[in-house]
Amino acid sequence: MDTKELEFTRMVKEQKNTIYTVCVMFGDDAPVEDLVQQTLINLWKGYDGFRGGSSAGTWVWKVAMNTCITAQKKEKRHSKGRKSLDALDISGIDMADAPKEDRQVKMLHDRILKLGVFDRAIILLWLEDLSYEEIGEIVGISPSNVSVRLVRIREQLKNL
Amino acid sequence: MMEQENKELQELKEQLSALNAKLDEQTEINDRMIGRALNSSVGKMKDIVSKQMWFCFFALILVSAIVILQGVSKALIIATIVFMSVNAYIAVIMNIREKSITGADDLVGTMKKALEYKRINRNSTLIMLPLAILWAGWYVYEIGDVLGFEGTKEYTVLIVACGIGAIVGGLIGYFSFYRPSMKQADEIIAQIDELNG
Repeated sequence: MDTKELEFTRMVKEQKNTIYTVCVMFGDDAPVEDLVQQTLINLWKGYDGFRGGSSAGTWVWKVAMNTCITAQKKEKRHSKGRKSLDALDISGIDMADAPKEDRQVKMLHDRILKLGVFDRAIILLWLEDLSYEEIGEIVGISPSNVSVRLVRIREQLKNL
Repeated sequence: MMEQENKELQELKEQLSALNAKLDEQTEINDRMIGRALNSSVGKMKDIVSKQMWFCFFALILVSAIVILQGVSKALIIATIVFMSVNAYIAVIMNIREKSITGADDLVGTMKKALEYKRINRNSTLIMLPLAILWAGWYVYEIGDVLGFEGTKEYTVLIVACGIGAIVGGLIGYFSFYRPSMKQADEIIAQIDELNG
């Protein structure tokens, strides 16, 4: 491996949770592993353009979300179900018997999936403690619009 | 009211922490997956020129060769080559556009590109489908003449069957492809409009 490949490998391992979180929350019925693989391919393809640009975290969020959103339709055609990683296989969780942690993940998944794509992105980014400026940069809206949108999303979540 | 709101958000934060804890413990991006990503740029051309595009080029050569060998009119041969070439050109354009979607644009920009891709795809289908039906009708008419079927009962049945097939195919395409695609695009446009106030 050359220096660039080593840097890339280190970066994706550091950003592992971001990549998986996006693939779980945005993949709908697509297999998580396939989405992670496609995200890694897109990250590598865009790596030269990113080096020296914005923060790694912001860039990984953008590429991962774009990959999952554009991959959804294709994956649905080819897969019969959410054949995901065992650790993240939350679709069949029995809420009564599951450990607290699993129940919490499933509740988050179910609530987030009821939101539209953009709202889903905004609330996840906000929960990850990104600033309004960073959220606006990733989603493509102004920081003041992020603030307005968050108020509406909170209202929606209360009614779910 | 404020307390209730905070409780909701606190709950969400706890749920996200639970997800992160699971991810920390149980998943990893292994070297095999990274290796596949690193090797993906080797076959860049292969990636850009997809199977669908090769199929269109193959169909262009094959169908053109078949109509020439069958001895149909020059006009039909030219129409076939033009029709198949336009089809192959559209496939190239669609491939290039599709590959440009998943970049590092922001989410709204990506969605707009995806919608534009769908719009071109839909419109090209709407134009090419009637042309394909016209071409097929012309081909059946000429091939019937070449094979000496004209005026026979079998020939009439063949023409009627082609007509019914075209109508049924058109209806299925409209209800299963065009309408759902339009509805989905409208929903996304509405979300983008709402986001931008």
